Amino acid sequence: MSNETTAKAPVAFKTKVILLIIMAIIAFFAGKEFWELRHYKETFVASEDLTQVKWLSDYLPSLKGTWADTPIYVFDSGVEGGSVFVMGNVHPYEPASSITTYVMLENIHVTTGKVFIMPQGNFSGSTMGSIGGAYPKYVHIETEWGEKTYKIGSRESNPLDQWPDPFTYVHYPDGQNLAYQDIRNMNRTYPGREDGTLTERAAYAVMEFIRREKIDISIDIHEASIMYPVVGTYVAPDSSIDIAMMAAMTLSDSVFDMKCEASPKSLKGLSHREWGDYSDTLAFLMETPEPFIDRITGPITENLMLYGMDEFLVKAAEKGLVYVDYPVSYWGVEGEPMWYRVGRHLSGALEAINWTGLFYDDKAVEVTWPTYDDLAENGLGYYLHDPALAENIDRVQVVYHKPVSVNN
Amino acid sequence: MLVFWGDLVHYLYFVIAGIIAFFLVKNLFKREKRNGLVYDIVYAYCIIPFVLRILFIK
Amino acid sequence: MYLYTTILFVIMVASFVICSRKLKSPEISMAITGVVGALVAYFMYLGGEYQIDFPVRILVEGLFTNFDLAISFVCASVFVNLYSYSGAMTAVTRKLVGTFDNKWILLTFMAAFMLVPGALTGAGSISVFVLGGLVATVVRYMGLSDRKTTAFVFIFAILSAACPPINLWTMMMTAQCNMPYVGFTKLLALPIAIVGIFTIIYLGWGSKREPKEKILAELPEAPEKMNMLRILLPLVVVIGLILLTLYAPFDVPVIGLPLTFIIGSFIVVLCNPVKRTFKEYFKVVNDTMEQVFPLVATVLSVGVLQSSMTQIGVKGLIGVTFITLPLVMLYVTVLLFGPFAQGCLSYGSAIIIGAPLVFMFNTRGMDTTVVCAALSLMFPIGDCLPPSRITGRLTCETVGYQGSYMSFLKQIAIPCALLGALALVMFITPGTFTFLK
Repeated sequence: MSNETTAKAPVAFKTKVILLIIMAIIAFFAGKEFWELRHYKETFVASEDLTQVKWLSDYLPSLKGTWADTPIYVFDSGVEGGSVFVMGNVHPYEPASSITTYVMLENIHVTTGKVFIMPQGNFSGSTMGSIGGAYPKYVHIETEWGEKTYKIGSRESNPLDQWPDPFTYVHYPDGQNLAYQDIRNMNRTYPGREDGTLTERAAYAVMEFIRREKIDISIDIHEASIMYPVVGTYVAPDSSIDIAMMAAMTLSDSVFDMKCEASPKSLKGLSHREWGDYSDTLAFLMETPEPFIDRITGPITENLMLYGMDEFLVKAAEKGLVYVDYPVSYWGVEGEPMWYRVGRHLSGALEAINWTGLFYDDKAVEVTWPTYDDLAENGLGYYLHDPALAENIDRVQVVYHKPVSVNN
Repeated sequence: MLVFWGDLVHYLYFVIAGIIAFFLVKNLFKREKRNGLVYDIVYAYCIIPFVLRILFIK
Repeated sequence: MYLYTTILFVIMVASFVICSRKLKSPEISMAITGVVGALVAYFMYLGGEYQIDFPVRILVEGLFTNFDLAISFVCASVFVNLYSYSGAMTAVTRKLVGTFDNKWILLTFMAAFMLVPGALTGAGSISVFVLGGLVATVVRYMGLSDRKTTAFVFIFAILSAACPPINLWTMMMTAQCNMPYVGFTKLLALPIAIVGIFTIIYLGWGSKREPKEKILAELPEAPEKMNMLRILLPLVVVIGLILLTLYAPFDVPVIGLPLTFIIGSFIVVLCNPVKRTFKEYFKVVNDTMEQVFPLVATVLSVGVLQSSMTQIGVKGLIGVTFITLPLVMLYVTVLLFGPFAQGCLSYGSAIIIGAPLVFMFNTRGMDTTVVCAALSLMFPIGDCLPPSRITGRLTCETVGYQGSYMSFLKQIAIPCALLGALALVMFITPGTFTFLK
């Protein structure tokens, strides 16, 4: 220890100033990138069926002006039927979930009932990369008219919006102890607290939204690491497990392998448990394979996010340590590509909605959007429309934590 | 009311980060132990997260 | 990818060894290692399928990995140093030495004290910060050498981190594996009790307590007006706030450890029987900042290293190498890999090594609660290992240990080995321990 504390000759004042300037330059360049991600505004060309834009703060006013506020897009057919809620990016480091909702938002057509879509479930979490995760800032999707850019966020809300963490997180109302950072993990904070932390309040607002809008079907879209057993699956509580099972069987029989798991009763705070327990909705959570968030991958690159191919994971798969077929080959590309993950979610959501209509007439919603087969045939970019086209300009929506016009 | 207290605590943490940043800058220029260039560099880069936090950047 | 990441791993190890030797600063050595690894990888991967972003943002982001921990360290140190400055620490020491005559009773009390802050917060370093100095003083008077005293503080610090109700490794693994954090209390407490009792006997054996009168004569006098209220109030407030967070979390805002200690610091100032000027307190805080800085720099720098290792694939290499070992080799090496991962990745070890193992054992039908608990007892051992060796360094600095770090490691080897052995038995035969759930 003594070597470390040995006094040395003082360094000149000028040298210290120079050091400070060098660090300021480094901080500036890093800070510029942090700032860009924090304030990046995703856009989409809304389907002509869009009838209204609501905000999460409409259901809990204390969220207004915070970074947890987020838009909810409403597609009301005007024909009596059920209601569906689709939520993306509760974990913003799972961008296939938000991209799925964007494909829905751009292409949806509703003929019976109402559909509510929230592309950024945890907006605050989408404004930073996962600390220590070394994520690229964005994922770019190629389209015929250019690249579309989406954020790669974090699992938790941004500490700029919710700080500090406790040394342990006690879940409301059950009192279960969870890891401290889970207090910023929206999918551990349901049913939320009206006067809790920002994330707990956002979760509470989601519950309020589900209750007040009398949502029949609620779908929470996620991605999972392939070494996590709950991957490529529906997770559903008792009230919706039969529907999920039928949907999974249909998909597995004709499109892709889909599992179905019952929501564990002992695990608190998750949407597939609390949405059903604290409202009358039929809850579904969907997971698709995202190798990017596995913990033992090689270099963290945008390619890994886009295509999901990793040599270390292949090794793990050989040893039987992964829970999906891996790697799978699509068009000569091996991995778990983005179009495949988005396609799974699009068809997975549709199948859950359709089967609910078959189980309960009064909850039937007739809706279409591109499916897995469509994406397999045309690619993902095909369904993302050019915002610069004259016919689309008026339909461009900006997804931010507060209302922003396209030109801002 | 809890929301108000929560917000107050939230901003107090930025104040704490600011105070620590102040001491780090002060000690970069004047300290009693570990006076070599190596620790000057360490001080200089350790200031970065505190500054970025109090500027609401990260 | 194996080739590239192995080359990068070797370069990083070499960089760390060279920097450590030349610069004599583990903090900057870790940061430089992170920068070297990231830059070499950037150019190595440039234009290829593994091309990574230019690493400036990632390296700076790494400084935030343990940012909250660094602030906790600062605030805990400010609290403790102000408490000492008020003379309360001296008063406590005098009262303890004056009250208990028996060496074993006093050592047991000290051990129990050490366990409390870490058990409540999940961080062994907090135990060292808050009580390390006091415990070291008392233990020394029980006749333990400096080396044994340092070992005593360190072992009980890591045991406190593993001790229920809050064990962060277990919590992180259960969070990753979607398991409830339930059923761990006895599984963790029993091995900790065994190792704790053994450590007290092992370190205390053969030492001779100095006469009470001599100790009291050597100890500085406590300030005249220092009474029990002034001594206890700051501690009661800090522990009270911690307990409120645990047991009445919905009635108070999230205060966090740093603010808890800041509030405690204000109480210390109010309770100080000697009125001090702002300038005097400012000096205490300034000295504290200087004293705690190496540790702050360590936790910030280890974040840079971790971010770099993650971005360039070295973290993945370490993880995949271990978890794809044959089962027998896994059993043989887990006591090396677990603590080593802790040294490199601190709590990240639970996520990178722990969670995949829990999944693996789950598919083999083994009891994952016991496996989780076993791993949570292995990881803390790594808190004395490079590159980060956070609790190890902190203990040496707090206790003022002047010997070599290696001599400290030798002294803690046997209690650590016992902890590791118990954990290994639980890990290999989890079914035997299900009765403790």
